[in-house]
Amino acid sequence: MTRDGQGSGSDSPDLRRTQELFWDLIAAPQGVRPGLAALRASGRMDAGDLSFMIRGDDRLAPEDRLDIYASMYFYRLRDSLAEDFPKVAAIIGGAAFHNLVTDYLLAHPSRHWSLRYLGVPFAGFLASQDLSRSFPYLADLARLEWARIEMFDAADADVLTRDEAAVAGPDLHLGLIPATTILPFEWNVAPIWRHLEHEAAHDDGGGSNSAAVTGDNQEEFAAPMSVDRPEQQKTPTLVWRQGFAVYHRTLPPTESPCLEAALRDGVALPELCEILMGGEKEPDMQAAMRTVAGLLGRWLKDGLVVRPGFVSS
Amino acid sequence: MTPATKPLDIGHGVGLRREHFARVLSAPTRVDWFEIISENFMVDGGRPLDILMRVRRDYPVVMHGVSLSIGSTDPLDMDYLDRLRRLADRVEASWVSDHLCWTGVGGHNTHDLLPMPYSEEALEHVVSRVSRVQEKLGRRIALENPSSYLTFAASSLSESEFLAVVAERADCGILLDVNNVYVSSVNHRFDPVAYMDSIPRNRVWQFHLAGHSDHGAYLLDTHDHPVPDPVWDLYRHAVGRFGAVPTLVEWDANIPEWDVLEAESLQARKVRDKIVAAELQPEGAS
Ligand SMILES: [Fe+2]
Repeated sequence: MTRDGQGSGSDSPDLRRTQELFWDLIAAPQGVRPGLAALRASGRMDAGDLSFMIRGDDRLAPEDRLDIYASMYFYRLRDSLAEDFPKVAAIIGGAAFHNLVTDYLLAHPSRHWSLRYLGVPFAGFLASQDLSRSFPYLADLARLEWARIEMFDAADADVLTRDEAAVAGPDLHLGLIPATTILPFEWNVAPIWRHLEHEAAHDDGGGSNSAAVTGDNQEEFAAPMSVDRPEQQKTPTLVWRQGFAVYHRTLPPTESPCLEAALRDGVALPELCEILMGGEKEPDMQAAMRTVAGLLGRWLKDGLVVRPGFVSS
Repeated sequence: MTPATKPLDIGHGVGLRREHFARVLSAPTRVDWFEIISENFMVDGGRPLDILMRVRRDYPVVMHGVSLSIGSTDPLDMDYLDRLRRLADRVEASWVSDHLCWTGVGGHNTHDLLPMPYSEEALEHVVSRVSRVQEKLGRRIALENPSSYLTFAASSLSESEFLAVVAERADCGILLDVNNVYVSSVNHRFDPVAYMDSIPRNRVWQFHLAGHSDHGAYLLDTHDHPVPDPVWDLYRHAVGRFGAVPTLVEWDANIPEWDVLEAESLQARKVRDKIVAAELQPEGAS
């Protein structure tokens, strides 16, 4: 299997050009041959086929061989996004999700060494798509799914205990653990999330398709799942990790400005009282202090408060 | 740099997958070590890292990456290498491996193991990058032969020649994936035994065994099956040539129950032990 006298040498593109062409063709949304035609039409290539770069044989033409890579590329990334956004995928159905990802990868191809970050701009992209006219709440649902992933492997931190908080008393300066985020939703998507989570738990995972693995284009797409449209209302939602479990909950109007202040740069207890009185959530200092005590108890119970001086690695 | 030559024979391992986290932590297993996909643990915190550190208390851990992109014409990703090194130091990895491939160009990442042209130009390129990576990581690495589905017109060397020269000139190890040799030998019609015989004996640090699927015109490396017979046969040849090299059974899709995976690893142990014992027989003994 050494030099066979054909093709090697001066006619072949150099390594850089080979890789660029390879990428352009496997990322082409309709496959290698249409991608090749597009390159020719735009004057970026003159060769009629790929034999100057890839060897074909009696089994497969050069374009077919490259198509194997094109399929692997697309299906691996599509399946990864389907794993990151299972509830978005369930609502719009497999076929629409497939098409959505096709457009998404053109707009936002992966630029990170980890597949973990592929979905970063997904919710924003979704919001800009026609789909969001039929499903205006879908981007918020995607934000929720994504935040849960972010919190899953956010940095660890030591959590302040109730006793430690009692010792610190009113001097306590409250900071939150890194695995905390607040999402300013326009739609109340938590009930849909819960509903779909319940459905998935009773589905036994039979829906996972492995097209990426088989490279089989004749897959059957999951039908869209009909769900009730959620209410359109501002629903600030807290997502956090306690121990190794990720949770989320909707924040009541008294809690969200307080928690937001704590999340920004930490907050002292008297400041929380001022926030509550300033926002006219509470009429006086006494009522505000009672509310703050209640909030603090809840945050400690949820494991949201970081132990002061703890530096995460 | 470590390892100095060939790493020690640490026996038989399997991939650490989340489907088996609970089982692996709850009771002893009959495998000797675990291989991780490095990138899955190059995160800031959370459960996977915690599990990894707990597994590490009881087993050696080998790091196997998919994003090094050693063959890419893009610059090396220094942030990636920093994080890779930090993880390797933290888990005291027995060794670190990745693939003889490229994964993207122009800043894009396909997250796929893309084939290299086996040309002189590519050879120079890969050799110099392996040297820089090893410098940066403070340790030597092993490169795995990927399964491939096409051959470049620019290739003037065979894959095994290319791999052998890279290993010698860059002074790195080889992770010989027996299934990938088999898959590529069918896809490109070469002799898998001759392939192995042209790989230098002392460069092979580790074997991979896995299953694949038949697509008619080609075999696809899917890691979703038990190890098939032709791969076992080739493994016997590999052990005969390279000796008692640490062996890993890869199973990444349709991941079976722990017992099935463990049994596959035990089977590899049986096969390997038999070959190694036969080699040790004095001459003339039957
Ligand atoms: Fe492998």
